[in-house]
Amino acid sequence: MLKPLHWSRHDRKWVNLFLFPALFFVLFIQAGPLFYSIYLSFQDWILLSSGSPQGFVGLTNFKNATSDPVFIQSLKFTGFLTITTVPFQLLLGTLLAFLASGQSRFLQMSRALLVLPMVVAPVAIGTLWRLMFNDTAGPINNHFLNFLNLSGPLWLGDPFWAKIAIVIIEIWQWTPFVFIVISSAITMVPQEILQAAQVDGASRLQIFYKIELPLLAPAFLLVIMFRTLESLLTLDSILSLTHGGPGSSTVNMTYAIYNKGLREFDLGAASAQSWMFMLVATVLIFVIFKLTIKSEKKTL
Amino acid sequence: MSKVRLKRSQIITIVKFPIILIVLFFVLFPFFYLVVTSIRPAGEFLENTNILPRSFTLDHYREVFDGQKGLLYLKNSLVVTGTVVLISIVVGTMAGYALVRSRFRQSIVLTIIFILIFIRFYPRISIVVPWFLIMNRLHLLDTVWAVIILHLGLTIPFVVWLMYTFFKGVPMELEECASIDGAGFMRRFISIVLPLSLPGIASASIFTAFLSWNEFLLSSAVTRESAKTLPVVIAGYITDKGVVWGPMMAMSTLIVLPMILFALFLQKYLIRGMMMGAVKE
Repeated sequence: MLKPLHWSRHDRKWVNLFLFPALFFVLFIQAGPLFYSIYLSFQDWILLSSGSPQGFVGLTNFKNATSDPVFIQSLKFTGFLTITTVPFQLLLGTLLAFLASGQSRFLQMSRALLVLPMVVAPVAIGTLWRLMFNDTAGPINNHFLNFLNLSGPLWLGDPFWAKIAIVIIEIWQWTPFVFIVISSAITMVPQEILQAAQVDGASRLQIFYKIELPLLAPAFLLVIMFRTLESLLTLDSILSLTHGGPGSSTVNMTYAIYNKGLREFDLGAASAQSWMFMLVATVLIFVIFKLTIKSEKKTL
Repeated sequence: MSKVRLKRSQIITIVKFPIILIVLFFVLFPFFYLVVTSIRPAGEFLENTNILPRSFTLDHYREVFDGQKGLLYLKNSLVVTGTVVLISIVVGTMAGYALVRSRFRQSIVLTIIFILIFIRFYPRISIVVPWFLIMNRLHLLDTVWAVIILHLGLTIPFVVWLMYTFFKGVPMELEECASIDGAGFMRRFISIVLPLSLPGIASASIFTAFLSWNEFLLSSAVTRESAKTLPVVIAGYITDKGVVWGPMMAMSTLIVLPMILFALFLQKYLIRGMMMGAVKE
């Protein structure tokens, strides 16, 4: 643990002054509206029909959410998306990290290029894959599947295949994240341990299971949590790839709340739903916090 | 024994390279196709399904900038990103430094870390409706200021966190010496701490630019027409009636390009922000 400087009273003042602007922004921009939305979640307020809240309605908004078919549908799709994408991202990202580790120029260049999908705007990823999946002109049906002698489905026009399309772009965009984290975790594994094990006659597989995997475990845990939470929050790429359709088959929770609040302007319902979502997210966030603290403590 | 091992590692290399090349193809092809489509003549769209168009045209870019206020949107995005980077870096660097050098009790530091992580991951959709109402009341709806304010709430916690972990690795001895020589807090911060923290600041700036440039949800909630940023404009090309392919691809190319350049030439800095404590350096 670092030992703090011996502060004079004068310094103390500066520290507070340095903290104040950030604190102000965080409270003003994040905390304020959050409390406002708690208030809204207990109000009956549809902006299209009235300019002000129509009164306290207790838990009605919350109760309505549990019988709102689109919201329930979105809950299922959100779960589906997380369960189908995170394991693939983890598996592919880890495989790639081991494959592409090394010092050659080719590998270094590949590592730099493999990262590209995750740095570009998710909105643009949606539009770009909308083009790829296009059933008359898109290269996936016309070239890739044709090459394999398969006839592709009507990707974005079919509820099932539209979901698969979203799974594919989520894997495409975020496998690089797993890849980059696991790659740098691999370089942190001390070489001496591996060499010592090799000298003692351990096989490559033994080294992987008994030494590398346990050492990489904390990185894996964090990556899983990061990806799980982020996948719950996906919006942009879905919006620009399928627009939630066909029907509302690819609407996830964020999208459902977005539509409720900013398209139907049912502010009470949107706020209530966002708080139900928040409770789930908070549990996961708490796990991440615990994991972070654990790894912080080790380095302190 | 050693001969066998040598052979095996050679086999691994031989298997490895084609796999990596195939993966690279799937990673890069969509980008290539995006650029190609943005210069494909409109008439060829559904009719010529070859990967490469028969002729090239810059019409879509011209259309975006002439008829469709493209220049205004590009300017909005640049103004928002620039302002957000500037303010977040100043505010976040100060706070990150103060956190490391403060003598807060452990419990307070832990609370602050929890808040930072919470803001990183909570469903941001929940502040969208409140902000829409507040901006409406403040008559800031559809101004770049509304977008800038919302982005700051997102980026400042990131910068604080990044700079906090960065400053933790900066030794204090120099500051202590300067303190003994009578340098005050500000003096030490500006002439000793800041020069040492330039790599951290570079990382935080690039990451902030990445967040703000790509951000869609908050921007779309508080803009209607004249303050739209590029991601909002792109999403707007998809309507229930159909898709405006050419201009949409031209705009998408514009938004993708700067981040690709960042990733290729300044990757180290960008990645540090994305991992945000997932791996210790």
